[in-house]
Amino acid sequence: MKPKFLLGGALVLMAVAVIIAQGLAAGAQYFFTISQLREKAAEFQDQSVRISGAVIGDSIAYDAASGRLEFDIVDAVEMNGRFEPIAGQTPLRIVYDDPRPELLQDQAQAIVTGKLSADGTFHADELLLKCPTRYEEEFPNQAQGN
Amino acid sequence: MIVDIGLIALVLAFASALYGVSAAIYGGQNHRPDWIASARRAALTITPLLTIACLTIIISNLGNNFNLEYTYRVNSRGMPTVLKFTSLWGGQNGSVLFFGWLMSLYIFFLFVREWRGNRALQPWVLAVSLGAQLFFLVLTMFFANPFARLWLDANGSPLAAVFQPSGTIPYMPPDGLGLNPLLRHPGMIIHPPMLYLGFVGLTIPYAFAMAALLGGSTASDAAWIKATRRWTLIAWAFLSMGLLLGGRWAYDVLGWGGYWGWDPVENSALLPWLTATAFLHSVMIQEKRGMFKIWNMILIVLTFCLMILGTFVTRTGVISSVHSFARSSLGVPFLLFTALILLGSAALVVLRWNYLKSENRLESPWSRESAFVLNNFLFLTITFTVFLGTYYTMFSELIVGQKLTIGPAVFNQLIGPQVTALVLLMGIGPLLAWRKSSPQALGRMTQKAGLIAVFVVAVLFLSGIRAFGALAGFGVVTYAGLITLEEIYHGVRARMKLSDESLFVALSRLIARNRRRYGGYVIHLGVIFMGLGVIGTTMFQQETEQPLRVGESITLGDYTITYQGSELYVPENEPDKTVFVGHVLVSVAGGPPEAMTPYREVFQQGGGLLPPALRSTLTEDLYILFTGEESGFGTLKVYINPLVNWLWIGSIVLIVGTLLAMWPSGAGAAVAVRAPGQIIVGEAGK
Repeated sequence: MKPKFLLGGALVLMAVAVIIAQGLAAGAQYFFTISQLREKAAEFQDQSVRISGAVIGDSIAYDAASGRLEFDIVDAVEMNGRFEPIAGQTPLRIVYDDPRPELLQDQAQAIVTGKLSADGTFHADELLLKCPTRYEEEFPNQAQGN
Repeated sequence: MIVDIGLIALVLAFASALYGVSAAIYGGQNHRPDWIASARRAALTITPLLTIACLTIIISNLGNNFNLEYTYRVNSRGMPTVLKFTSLWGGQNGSVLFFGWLMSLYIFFLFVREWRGNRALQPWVLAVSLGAQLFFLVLTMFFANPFARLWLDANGSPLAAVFQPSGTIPYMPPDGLGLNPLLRHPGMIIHPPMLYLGFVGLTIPYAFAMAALLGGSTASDAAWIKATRRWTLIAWAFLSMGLLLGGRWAYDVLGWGGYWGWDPVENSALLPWLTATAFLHSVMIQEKRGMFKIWNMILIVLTFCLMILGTFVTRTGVISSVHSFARSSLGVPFLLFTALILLGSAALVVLRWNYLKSENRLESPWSRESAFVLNNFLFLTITFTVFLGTYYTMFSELIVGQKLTIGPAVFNQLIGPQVTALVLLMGIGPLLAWRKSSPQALGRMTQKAGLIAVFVVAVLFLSGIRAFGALAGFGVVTYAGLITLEEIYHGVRARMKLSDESLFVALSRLIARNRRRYGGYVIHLGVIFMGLGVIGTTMFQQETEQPLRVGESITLGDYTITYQGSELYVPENEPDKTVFVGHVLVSVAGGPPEAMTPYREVFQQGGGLLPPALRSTLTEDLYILFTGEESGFGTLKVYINPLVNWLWIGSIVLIVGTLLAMWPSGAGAAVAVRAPGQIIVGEAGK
């Protein structure tokens, strides 16, 4: 009786675990770098994916009347806890129908969920930003100036 | 200097913990009460020493001593005094010290009184809890030392070190960086300590469980399980409060209309809460029927590991998250410690397998025991879902070489049905008798509640709600809520009949006589209320956003919101922040306009807060955000959050219920005295 019961329980548990894992896999989104996204552009056009990159400060444009925000990001590598943009890469234009978030600034790390359109811009549904603020940064910039 | 005193205190605390662990192990192995007593005294010195260490950091913060690296990072001259206190836990290094201090408080209160429980357990509880304490002191000293100071080298560039490196001079920057703006909210002042108290509190049940295995005596069975349950409940109460306060803080400050985003850091605090909740339920089977001992042991170990993992995720930013403010060097020691706990605990459970044998068997699928098995099963599947979803990016990169992430919608979709099933079980579980019950009896007891729930669902359906999840959710919440209320009512009515008491007297005596049971019911009612809020916000939230010229309006639901213009000012006591205030007029269903003022705070150092203006009722919250004015357009973002207040009301009910269940009282002492008797009963029953 007891081994049978244990075996049954284990089987049910495994079945549920498989269902959960499948549910997660079905809903999972690809998380790409910009160059990875471009390599697979044909395959993933108009499919919701997540990308990350460093914001280029000079490119940020916000049109208050339409509430449309646009900015460029490029791939970045992490060095000494900071995100350094890769030189020479063609930036990816992000289009976002939301006001400009406070943390959107040069070299902020942007994690963007959305779709790549045929014109090569990326239409964002969700924008997460991690900012290169001075809080807890690798070493005091301000102090070096003094 | 005062900071040196703090550093010395930290080193002494480390030495005490190291000595305490060694003395406790030696004393336990060789049955030497004098060594055990000495270990206990060492344990008691840690709290005062760490208190001194924390105080010196606070003094340094208050005195704007920017020579201390930590003060430089989390303080600035413009910050209000109260924040200079709370910035003790506002940055990484300080929070690790603070974490260790809280842990020492638990250990202090556990050992300050004469040891009343089983003698054989004491040295091992000492050794395990001091071992965990030692780990956090090692982290504080060698990986995240808050006592590091700033120095200038020969080139004039600054560096941080605890001791003066050769060829450098002490360096005192004119001002500090200031506390991260997100942490300057009152909610952030109490949320982290509550969560930490919950986290560190889980050390004590783990220490008791390991002590029971290390001490290796069956006689200590009842003693360790009672102590473990009590301490788990305390930690659980703090953990619940920490999670709930965190949700409320997000709702009040982050400006996205919600309170829970399935962020990795939120999830990693939820994980130990889930397994601890499972344990608090299944421990009852062990107490009443002597079953599930191995399972309970596994739950305790799992809870402790998930706590350490949670601390690790929070403190190291290993997974990208809004909470991970820093990347740090804490990763390797944390992973080693987690591996050590997992392997060590697993080895102990296997070695002591015989002590953990079940005294009884499951007799009927319609019994309280089965309800608890199903409860644990659901808690475990939910834990598994959250765990896999949280670490999906990591696993997918390891296994298929491609990063994949899980969004909040997927979590809601997968966890919603599991939680609904759990709430249903929460309603009917307590009605089932131990050993054996029947579906017929259950049907009789829940007839009325079932009929009313069906009626509620029918009314909702006719009023136009078609979403299956919402109908099922409201139905189950109604059903389980009514059953719970009926249970309390039956108890009250019986008392009123028997002893001629008034309703209020009967209710309070009923609860006082059986705090654990009725405290549990009150917690369940809290969950029911919270369920209403969760269904309302996840299924029926409305949202709109628009740039508006002065005088223009937007409409959402019954509300018309008219933009009236904006202004900005710099608060006198916080000169490093600018506040942008939006003025709006809100009229409800064409009624008279009310003025509301959402605002946005922007900090000189970068970053800011986006607190909403709230119009809060029991049916819904109107949640208005003002994101700023640019070229004549003010942008408003408006949410309607149906039933969200029930989430907060439910939270308070849940905490009240927890206090009822755990408040120390005369009755609690009586239970402890009766404990040996229960063992005899248990053994006679074999």
